[in-house]
Amino acid sequence: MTYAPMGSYVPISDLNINITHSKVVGVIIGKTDSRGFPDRKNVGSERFTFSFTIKDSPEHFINVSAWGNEEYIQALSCRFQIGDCVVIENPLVVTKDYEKEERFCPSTPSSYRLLLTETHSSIRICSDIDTEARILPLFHIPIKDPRDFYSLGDITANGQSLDGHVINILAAVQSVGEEKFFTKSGGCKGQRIEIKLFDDTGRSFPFVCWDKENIRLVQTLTQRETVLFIADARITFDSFRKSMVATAISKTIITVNPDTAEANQLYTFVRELLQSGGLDDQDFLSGDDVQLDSIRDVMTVSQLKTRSQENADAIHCIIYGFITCFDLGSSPSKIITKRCARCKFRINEESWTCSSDICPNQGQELQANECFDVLVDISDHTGTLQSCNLVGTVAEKTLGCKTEEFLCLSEYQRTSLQWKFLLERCKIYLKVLPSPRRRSGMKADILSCGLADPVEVKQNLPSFVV
Amino acid sequence: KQQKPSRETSMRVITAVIEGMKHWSQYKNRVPMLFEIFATLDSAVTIGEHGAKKFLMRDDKHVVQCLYYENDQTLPRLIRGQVHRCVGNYDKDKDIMKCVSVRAASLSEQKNAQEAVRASDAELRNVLLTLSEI
Repeated sequence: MTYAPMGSYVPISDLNINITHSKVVGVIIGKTDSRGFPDRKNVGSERFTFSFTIKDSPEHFINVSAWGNEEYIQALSCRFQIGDCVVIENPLVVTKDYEKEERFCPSTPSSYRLLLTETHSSIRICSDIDTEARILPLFHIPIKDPRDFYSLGDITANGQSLDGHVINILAAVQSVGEEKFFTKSGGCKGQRIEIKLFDDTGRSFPFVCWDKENIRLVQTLTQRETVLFIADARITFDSFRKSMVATAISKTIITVNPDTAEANQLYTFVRELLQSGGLDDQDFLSGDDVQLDSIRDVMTVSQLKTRSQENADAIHCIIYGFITCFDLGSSPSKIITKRCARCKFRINEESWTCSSDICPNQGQELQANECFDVLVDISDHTGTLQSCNLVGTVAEKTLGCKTEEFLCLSEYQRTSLQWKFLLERCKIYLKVLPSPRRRSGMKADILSCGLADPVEVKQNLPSFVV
Repeated sequence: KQQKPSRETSMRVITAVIEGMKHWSQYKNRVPMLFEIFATLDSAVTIGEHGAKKFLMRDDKHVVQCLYYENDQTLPRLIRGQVHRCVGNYDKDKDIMKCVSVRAASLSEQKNAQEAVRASDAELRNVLLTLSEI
């Protein structure tokens, strides 16, 4: 038997089953939700478990699982999260069951795994600043070869042949959706979040998380500024959307802002794209797949303004407001723009070229689609939200006509269409994102707009009164 | 120390009764607003200066003279004795409401407008409190 020297940490690379009374330090790079299992030895009761993965050097990391009664496990699991640096005292070192481990846990280079038990082991947040300074940067080092990833374009190009595969992805966060809650068939509660990824080869690629721990992690990400290395995500073909989707599974480790040359390159691309305004143009055409009926928050204009100042995330809400600026009478070129059929970017009408540098259509004959692009002001008794975007199919649905039909309308008909909404109380679904480049500090996209039912307005107004 | 939120200076659309509109509009220089009222047409529609349409609106005991200029939209036919919805601004000096949108009010709108009046009142009372603090 080897006794680890008092006070010092055993490196994960040195762990073996002969070591006892060890102390291990590491940053948590992945963590599962706690789960209960029927206890075979004790019929009628349940045993609980959760596991996590810690890392103490660029190459070495190990899975740790804790078992115990519900109370102990829940309390333990709540005390720390992904990204924390923790010290584990007295874990049991056991040899890995490769088959099980490879299927359900992140694959680690270690031949062992650690077990935590209530009676023998303990875990706490590391309070030693020097150790923390050494360990925390490891959080940004991917667990796989940094060059071993698929670009979004590669995934799409491979299509259904990748269905069911577990691969690594390097991509940037385009948007983080809302967490949705539901009840599973067994009656227990479930949750889901979808984030959209992009890189220089693809946009709006869905990445889905079902685990509370991963959801908490991705909710903290800054959209359009974060690069992710997602190790071991499962790729599936979504037959409903007719597209490929990535999902976080129990093996998946998400590395936020990886410290690698490949990630830095992608980050530079993201900065340039943002500065050129490319992403703004793109994302309202990419189709927001937030379901309208999942949006229930009713807000006043001033509540929305306050919320968006406090909040860096997308806000989805309903406003019962008046359309106070809505100009359909001016020249069609002001409300209908031409966009590239391939990448949906605006077309430079003078040079008749696509304004996107990364358009897949580059050098080929340009094909353009016409698209509504109307700016709308929304007011209520608390103020006005200026320049909300009413674009594309949302505008078509609101106006009840396509761009080509609109162009055939007489001036009188256009004015009548305008006055159907102008100064009328509408029920407007909005998505608002912070946008420091705009004077208002935010970018508001209309997801749906129609005349409001007075009964609904009445029912939703009392909540406005403070 | 909690920071005071900056005062909202963008335009508000206030749903009000005629008396309320006349009262609140004294603050319109400091609180930009447009009014929505529901009231009964209590006169014939006549033609005034510069071709403006003139008519009288009444709710309970209060009356307001209204003007509508047919710029891009002609005034729809209004029926005396029926409830209409007017959106516009009140000119205190001339005691006139300059309307930008006038149409018949649906039954449902008439029945349910009260809550919007209440919400607007409450909001403006709050705004005035912060105004007087400055």
